[in-house]
Amino acid sequence: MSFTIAGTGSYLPQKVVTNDDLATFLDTSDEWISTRTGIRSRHVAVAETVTEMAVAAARAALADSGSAPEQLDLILCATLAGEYITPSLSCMVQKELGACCPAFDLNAACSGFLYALDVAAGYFARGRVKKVLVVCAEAMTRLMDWTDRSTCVLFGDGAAAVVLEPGEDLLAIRLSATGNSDALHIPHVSGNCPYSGYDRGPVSLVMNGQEVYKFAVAAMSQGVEKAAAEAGIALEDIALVIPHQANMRILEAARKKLRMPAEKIASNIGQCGNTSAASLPILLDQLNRQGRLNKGDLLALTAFGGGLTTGACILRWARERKKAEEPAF
Amino acid sequence: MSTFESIAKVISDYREMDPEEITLNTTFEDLALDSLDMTEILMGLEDEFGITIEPEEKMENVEQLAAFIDEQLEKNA
Repeated sequence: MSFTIAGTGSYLPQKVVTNDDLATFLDTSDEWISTRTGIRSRHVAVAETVTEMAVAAARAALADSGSAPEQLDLILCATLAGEYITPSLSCMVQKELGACCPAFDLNAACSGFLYALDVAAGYFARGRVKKVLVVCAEAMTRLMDWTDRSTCVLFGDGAAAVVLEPGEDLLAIRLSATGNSDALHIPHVSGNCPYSGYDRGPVSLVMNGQEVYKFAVAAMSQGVEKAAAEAGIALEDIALVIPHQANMRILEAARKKLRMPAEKIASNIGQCGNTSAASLPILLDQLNRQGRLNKGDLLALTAFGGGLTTGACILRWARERKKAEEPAF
Repeated sequence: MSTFESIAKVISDYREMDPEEITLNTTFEDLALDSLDMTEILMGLEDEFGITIEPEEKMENVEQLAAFIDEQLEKNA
């Protein structure tokens, strides 16, 4: 017993910032950013809080699944940072939705969605839940050093959610962790305790791009191969690979290793940038509403990120194909 | 295959070019290879040689890279 995805939803902030916009105050260019990453623009949460984005995505997923918040048995949020260290983002989502179930956050950085699916699967296997809301929401732009052109151009903001019900559509899932703060870290708040005198530095992302790149390409290609093997399917059986959207060149390098055609690798990085844990479910929701998912399709989801963490799973899509609601991206 | 020939093969496969165009003096700047391209090429060479290749300093040309790899192969031998 695992789960089936009953509904998806996402929210992207209103404000769009293009590479040309960034070039007005950063020593960079559209050509540099787009050739190195595939990113042309990203959404930035100016009017919206992380909670508001998460709630909007949750409402969309609930509507898509025909569910009411009161029916939820668990709310699970994968995020690096909401508005508060406490209360958790999931508690704030619970409050806004008017749900009445346990709620907790999970931090597995960009692998958060897959970690959350694995946690949810456990709850379903125990027979503890009938309806679970998984939300991923991130305002990465608030965690950047905006004087560092090598990192701040890569990330965007957004949220997405899925509603899960009992089913058998999770065919395989694999997670990993290899603790490493040198490759990628965002220090936590230091506070002003007069005793500790411990200053971790600014709360902004620091990353060794080449080390992370190497890790990511291996994680993505090996993740898909091993998950497919565990599910007992061939790579050719996969209808679509839905990878974490960190960098187009990672996707391309992993695609070549997997020997899969370009049309089987989904991407929206051009318009969204890297939205951390929200990246995968945003893309999943867009594919759903764009009518690109057929009933019975085997989807390979793969993610990698801070931790260093990785996740990969094979999901069977059980819903009827939608008529396209949104323009193709 | 010599170290140089293996490097030429990996780079020419990556860039989809004729390996004959690559010499010991070819610089990575000549080939318009940025840091991510270099990371991928080094990953390809790691697969080729079966060793970890993580230079401390930036490599400028094929000759430097070949010398570094030969050094690592000696250490691992």
